[in-house]
Amino acid sequence: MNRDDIRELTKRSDVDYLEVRLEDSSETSISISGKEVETVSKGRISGGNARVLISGVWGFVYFNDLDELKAKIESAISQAKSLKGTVKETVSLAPVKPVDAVYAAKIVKDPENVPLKEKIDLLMHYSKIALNVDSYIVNTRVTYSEKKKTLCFANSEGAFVKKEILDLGGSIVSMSSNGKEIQRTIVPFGSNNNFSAVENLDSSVEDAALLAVKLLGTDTLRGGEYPVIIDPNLGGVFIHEAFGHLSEADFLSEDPKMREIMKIGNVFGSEILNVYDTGDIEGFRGTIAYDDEGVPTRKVSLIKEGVLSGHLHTRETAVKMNEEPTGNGRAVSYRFPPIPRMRTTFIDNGKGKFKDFVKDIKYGVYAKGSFGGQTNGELFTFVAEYGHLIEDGKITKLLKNVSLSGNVFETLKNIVGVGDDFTIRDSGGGCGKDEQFPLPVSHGSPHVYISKAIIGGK
Amino acid sequence: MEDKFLRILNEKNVSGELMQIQSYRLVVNFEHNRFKGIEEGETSGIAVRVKKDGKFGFSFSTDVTDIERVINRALENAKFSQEAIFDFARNKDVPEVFCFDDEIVNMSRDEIINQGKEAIEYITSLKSGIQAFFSMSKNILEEKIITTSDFSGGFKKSVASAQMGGIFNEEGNFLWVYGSLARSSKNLLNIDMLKDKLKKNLEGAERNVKINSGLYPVIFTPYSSEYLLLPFAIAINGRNVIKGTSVLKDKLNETIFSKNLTIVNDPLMPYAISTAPFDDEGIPSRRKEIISQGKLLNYLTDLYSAKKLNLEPGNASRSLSTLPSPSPSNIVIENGTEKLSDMLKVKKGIIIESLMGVQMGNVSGGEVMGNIDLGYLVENGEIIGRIKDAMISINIVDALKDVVLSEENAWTTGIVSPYILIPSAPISTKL
Repeated sequence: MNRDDIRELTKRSDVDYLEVRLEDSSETSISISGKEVETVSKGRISGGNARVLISGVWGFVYFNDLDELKAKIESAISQAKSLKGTVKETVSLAPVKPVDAVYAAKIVKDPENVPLKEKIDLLMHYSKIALNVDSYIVNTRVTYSEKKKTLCFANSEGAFVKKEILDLGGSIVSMSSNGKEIQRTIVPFGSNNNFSAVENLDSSVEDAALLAVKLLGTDTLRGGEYPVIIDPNLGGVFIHEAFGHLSEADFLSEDPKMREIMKIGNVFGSEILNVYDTGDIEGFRGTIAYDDEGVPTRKVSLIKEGVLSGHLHTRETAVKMNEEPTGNGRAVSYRFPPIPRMRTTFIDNGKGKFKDFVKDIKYGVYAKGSFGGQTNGELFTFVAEYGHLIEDGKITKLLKNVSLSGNVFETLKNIVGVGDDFTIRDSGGGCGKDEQFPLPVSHGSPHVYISKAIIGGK
Repeated sequence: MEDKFLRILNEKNVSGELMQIQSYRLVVNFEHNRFKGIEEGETSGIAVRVKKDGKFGFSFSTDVTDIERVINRALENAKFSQEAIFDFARNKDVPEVFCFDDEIVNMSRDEIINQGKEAIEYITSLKSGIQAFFSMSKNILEEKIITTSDFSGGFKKSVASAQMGGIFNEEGNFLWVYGSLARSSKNLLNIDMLKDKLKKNLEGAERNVKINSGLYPVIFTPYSSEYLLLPFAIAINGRNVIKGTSVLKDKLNETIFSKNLTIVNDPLMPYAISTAPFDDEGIPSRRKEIISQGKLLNYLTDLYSAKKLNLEPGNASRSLSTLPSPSPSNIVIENGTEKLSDMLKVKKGIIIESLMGVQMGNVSGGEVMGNIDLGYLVENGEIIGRIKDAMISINIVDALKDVVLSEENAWTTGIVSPYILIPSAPISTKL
């Protein structure tokens, strides 16, 4: 279906708002377990949806057969019309200038030009590197996923956006066992424009496998409160979990108490803390040019010098909070409507030095690498790949099963050092919210020094 | 379609399996105390596995007319894939199961909206200032599998699900209470059970109390026992057993857990969420006792791991775009003999309602490590208040060696479970 046809179908005056999104994607996924190729899969997913707003009620219809678009628009409209009068509230959308744009990711090395056999061989090569490190490496789990998507968006205001995007991600997990316990380490990778993200990982994989063996039989810290330094990888997950989700405005816009807590100008940390969410850094999975409501991406300052400075919006939440749309309206697929989601979220560089943070700590933890995290708004938890004890200003013995927890608000205020070694890391998988998982996001951070956080343990 | 599939494979002289899925879904959403809107949709798709030159190939598409291309892609992929050590499902009798209810099909949109209004009214009446949410969905699923080894089966399934809860946030104190339920029969979708849970959760969290780090008796409820089952499901997955990444590897027929513990995987349970006449590889469903009075009797297997481990297959699960792998169906943890009221008479214990971050932790290693999202301090049978800023860290290999089970139980979405008391578990808190 071409641009003009889609635009014609969305020109409607009998609705408050109408949009359609169409998706056609091809996916390649590979998984290797030990020396075995478990999955080689190529598949195709296509589908679309129509979302309509009439008198404050949203109707949403999704489908697979793109030839049914016209009929599905009608059914979304009649669905919403029949619900007229069900709600008293009126819903309006923040005004945005309708764009007419075609966006194609600037691909550096296209995975489509790499033969399938070469991809499998490369992943198997990593698996063998890990397996050959030591006989205590009992298995590996190598996953690779590559999605090429063509997404079309059009709405009743005359906007049209066509996007051609790539999403590549995965990881190499080494699993060790001594018969008594199982440990694992991970080398993640991801990109929105470059197959090279999965290349040249030999030494990282070897180091990670060695580490998985070393973790066997090491100590677990006694649970309790400690000063903690988190590495850039974990710092990114921390800010995503601890603060990013709180900034998503669907959680705020209709809750007066939450709006008070998350009011612009409220102090969240010391002046060394600067946090952003953006869709415009090339090369990362969280990079988007336009969101799924056709809103151009823009960099949003969430915390500026310790003070709350912005929120993440869809058009609906932006107007409710009397703020500008930010380009954060994202949907994981055609089966879901857009909701406020993060893109690339990061703690900006500070002036601190990692080695000074270490020197400052008498007895604490250096937590490294990440297996992800979770939040309920106030409390968060995230799981480090491993850690080291810090004793009298020196990094000492290795620690396994390091999991950090805390209160978001207290912990942000307990950030006493922000390093100058900012990096963004990508990984496979993605972020989950409600049923929408996995949404590609990225995060970044320098080393961050937190004066106290809870570490789980025996 | 099926004829075309069989004809093409016959011409190419390869064996294969075709899965067809069709689903319909209607969701009604209430957020922030009000009706928000509805979502409705249909999806379909086909997935093909072929066996060529002793190797498997796989492909899928949401375009069901694309069968020829899907077969060809699967054949191309077969060059690179796993060695085919098993054959696709053969024609066998499948059991009769109950997983479809016309009353779910007939549920009207307006009827669901009215349920939602009533639920929102109820939740907002429990606590002033609470932000209530509710969503209810009806799902109709059709699955068909055919193989070149003469298996041909299909079933229709209906699922009604409800989730509801409330958010009460104020400076320095956030509280989420939440419950969800799904059934294949409308009459069994007991919204009152969720209402009761929310009410009790709010009462328990009425005030916050502080505890110190240390060892505590911990009680998992029928809702939170799922956190214990998370590492358990990984440990009994036949594929992990083969790879040496199961903490229960080489433990078959050994008594590994408390004698009080019996755990059954039951795909035949009437009107439960995972009930089906056959698994996602076309193997007839059957009840499997995994743990019997503490003894490990079986692992969960798909065709591949069953062959390698010399066990019966039948526990394969998959989505359209993924290959089958072993996965739990409906899980039943059998009741104990202790009265819940007696169980709660601990001197100083913790009740866990929900945890955060467990699935990111070392679940392969048997760890249940997470932040206590909602949990209470209980003293001599009385709930004292909510504990916050606390983490639990246990390993099922040790923790399930000594458990006490209540005679009361509940059927949550995919699990039937009693209350489970672990007499001593480490809890870490802030100073």
